[in-house]
Amino acid sequence: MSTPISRIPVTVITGFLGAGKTTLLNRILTEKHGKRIAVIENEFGEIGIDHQLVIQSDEEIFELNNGCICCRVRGDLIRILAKLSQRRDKFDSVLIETTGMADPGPVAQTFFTDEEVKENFILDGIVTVVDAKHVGLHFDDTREVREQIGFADVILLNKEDLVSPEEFVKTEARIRKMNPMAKVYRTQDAAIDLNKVLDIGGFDLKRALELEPDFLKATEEEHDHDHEEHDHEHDEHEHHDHHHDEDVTSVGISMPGDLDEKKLSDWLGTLLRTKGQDIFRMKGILAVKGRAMRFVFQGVHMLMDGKPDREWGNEPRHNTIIFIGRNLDRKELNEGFKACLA
Amino acid sequence: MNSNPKLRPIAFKWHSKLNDFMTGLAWSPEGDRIAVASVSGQVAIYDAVEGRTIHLFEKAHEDGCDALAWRPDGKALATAGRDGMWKLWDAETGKVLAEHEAGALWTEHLAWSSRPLGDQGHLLAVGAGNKVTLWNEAGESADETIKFTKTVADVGWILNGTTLAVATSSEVVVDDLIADGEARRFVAKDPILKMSFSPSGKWLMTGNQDCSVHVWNTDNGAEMHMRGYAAKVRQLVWHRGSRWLAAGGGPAISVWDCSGRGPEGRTPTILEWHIDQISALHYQPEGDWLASGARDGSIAVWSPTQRQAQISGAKISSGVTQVAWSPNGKLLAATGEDGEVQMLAVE
Repeated sequence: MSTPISRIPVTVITGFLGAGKTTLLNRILTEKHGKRIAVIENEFGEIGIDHQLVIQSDEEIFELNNGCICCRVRGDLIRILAKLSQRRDKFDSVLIETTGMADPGPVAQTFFTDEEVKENFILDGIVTVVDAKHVGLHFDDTREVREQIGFADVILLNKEDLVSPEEFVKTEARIRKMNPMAKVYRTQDAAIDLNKVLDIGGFDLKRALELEPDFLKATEEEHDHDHEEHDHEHDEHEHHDHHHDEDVTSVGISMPGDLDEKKLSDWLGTLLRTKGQDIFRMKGILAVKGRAMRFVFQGVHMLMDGKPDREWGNEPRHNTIIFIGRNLDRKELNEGFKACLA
Repeated sequence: MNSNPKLRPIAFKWHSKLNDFMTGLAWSPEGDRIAVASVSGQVAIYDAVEGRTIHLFEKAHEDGCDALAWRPDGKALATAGRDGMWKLWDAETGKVLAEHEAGALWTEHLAWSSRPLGDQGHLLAVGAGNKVTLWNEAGESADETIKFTKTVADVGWILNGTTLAVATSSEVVVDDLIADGEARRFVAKDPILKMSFSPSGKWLMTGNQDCSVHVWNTDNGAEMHMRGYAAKVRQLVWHRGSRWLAAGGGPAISVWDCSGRGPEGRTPTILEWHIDQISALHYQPEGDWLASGARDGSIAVWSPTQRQAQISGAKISSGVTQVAWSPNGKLLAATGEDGEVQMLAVE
C-alpha cells in the first residue's frame, strides 16, 4: 500500500558556467549535516564531485500537451526521481545541478505536473549562483542568465572579493530589480549557511506566509522605487540595452480594498493563458470580497497554486501581488488588477 | 474491492523477505529456480517449489540492483545495478564468473538473446546510460557498443531471437545482428518508458511519460496513439498468440484485441477489480491466464473469456512490484515494495 509519506525536498542549483554552482554543491555535500543527499548533475562540472550518489542526466525536455511551452517538463528528471523514490531508506534531500544554459522553467514545472514526482518530491527552492565579476557581461546578451535570476528563490552573488564595492552595489541593485522576491546573499567561494539554501520552502504557500514581512516590504519598496526611478532606468536602457524588450523585470502591485472573485478569476485566467509563458514566478496575498480568509497563491508560468490561509482579523484588508518575468507590461498589469476591485 | 462470490482462492506455497523494494524477478529457464533482486542491492536465488534459499548475495550491487537475467542454459545469472556494473554469477556455486563496468552509473537493462549468434553463442545486451554493450556467455566482451543519442529506456531480443530492439526516450531501434541490412527506427513523439513487441513481431507498443500508449504496425508503418490512461503505462504484456495485449496505466486493466488490422477503432475490454494502480502484469507463457498485481498489494488471475477476476485472495503486505508465471504456468511468483517474495500456486 502506498502510504502517504513526507515528500523529499528538492533544491535546484542554477547559474552560469563558472559562477560557482559546483563549489556550492561541494560545500553542501561536505558539511556535517547528517543528511543523505542524492545529486542529479547535468553537467560534467568544472570541479569534480566526490560523493557517492551522483547521477548524471541529459537534459530531455518534452511537452506534455502538444506544444504548450508551459507544459514543458524534464523527462530525464522524472525517470531518475522515480527510481530514487523506490528506496525505503529514502534520501533526506535531492540536489539538482543544472547546466549553465538550462531553462529553470521545465525543471520547476516537472514538480507541479508529473503525478509520480508530486507524490514523492517537493520543490523546495531554486538557488541561483551569480558570478558578481562577470555577470555584467552576461546580463544583456544571455537570456539564460536573466531567466535563472528571475526564477530564483535565493541568489548567491558570488565572488564578492573580485569586484569593487561600487560595481557590486550596481550589480546587486540590478538583480533586485529583476527579482525582488529572492533573498540575495553576498558570498565568497559560495560560502553560505546551509539553512539559507536548503529547506527554504520557496514554493510552499504556508511558508510564503512566514516570509511575509520581508516579502511585503520588498514589494512595497520595489513599488515605491519604481515610480521615482522608472524614467531614469528607462533612459539608461534606451541607451545601452538593445535587448530591452526581452528584459526580465518584476512588477509588484500593492493595493488596499476587496477584490471581486469573478473578475479576479477571469483576469488571472486570461493573464496566465495569454502571458503565462512570460511570467516566470508569481506570489500574492489577496483580499476577496465576502471572504474572511486571506487568499494566498504562487505560480510558475501557467501553473498556479492557491488557497485561503487565515482570517484577516483586525489587519487591514490589502492586496499584494508580485510578478517576475519578461516583457511584463506594468501599466496593463496594474490596470487589469485595479479593474478587479469590487 | 468488488465482491465476486465466484472468486476462487489462490493457494499460497511459500514466502520470503528481502529488505527493500523488489526490482527484479526472473524464473530460470527450467522453472526450478527464481532469482530476485532489491533496490538495496540484494540478490537471492530460491528453490521455486520449496522456497529454500540457495544463495543470498547481500551486496550484489552497491546502491541497488535493477536487473536480472538467467543465461539461457540456466547455469548462470546476470545482474546489473546502480554501481555501474554488471555481473555474471554461477547459479550453483554462487561465484562471480565475470564483472564489468557497463558505461554509466545506473546499469538498468539486461537481456540474453533467445537464440545463439553463431560461434558467439547467446549474447547478453547490457543497457546503461545511452549505451548498449554486448557480451558472450562467458561474460567476455563481444566487442560491440551501440551508442544512442538519448538514455536507453528498454532492451529486448525479438522475432528470431537474434534481433535486438532498444528503446531510448525518443525512438525504438530494431536490428537483426545476423542478417545484413539497416536497422529499422521507429521515432517517437513522446518520451518512451517501456517497449513491448508482440511475439509475432508485427506490433510495437510503447508506454510513454505522458501517460499515453503508442502503437506501430511494423508491417506497414501505420501508427496509432492512445490517450486517456490515468497513469503512466509501464505494463504492456502480450498473450502468446499475439492477439491480446494487456495494459496497466491506472486501477483498471485494458485488454486490446490486436488481431487483423489491430486495435484501431476497437474498444478494449476493461478488467476492473483492483483498487489502486496496476503495477504488474504477466500472461502465462504457455497458457491463457493473465496475472495482475496492484499498488494496494492485491493479486488476481483472469481468464481470457471473463471480465471478472477468477482467482485471488493473495495479498502482499506492500505494493506489488512484479508478478511472473513459471514456464509451465503452474506457479506464480510475486514481489513487493517492502521486499516480500511470495510463491502462489494456480491449479
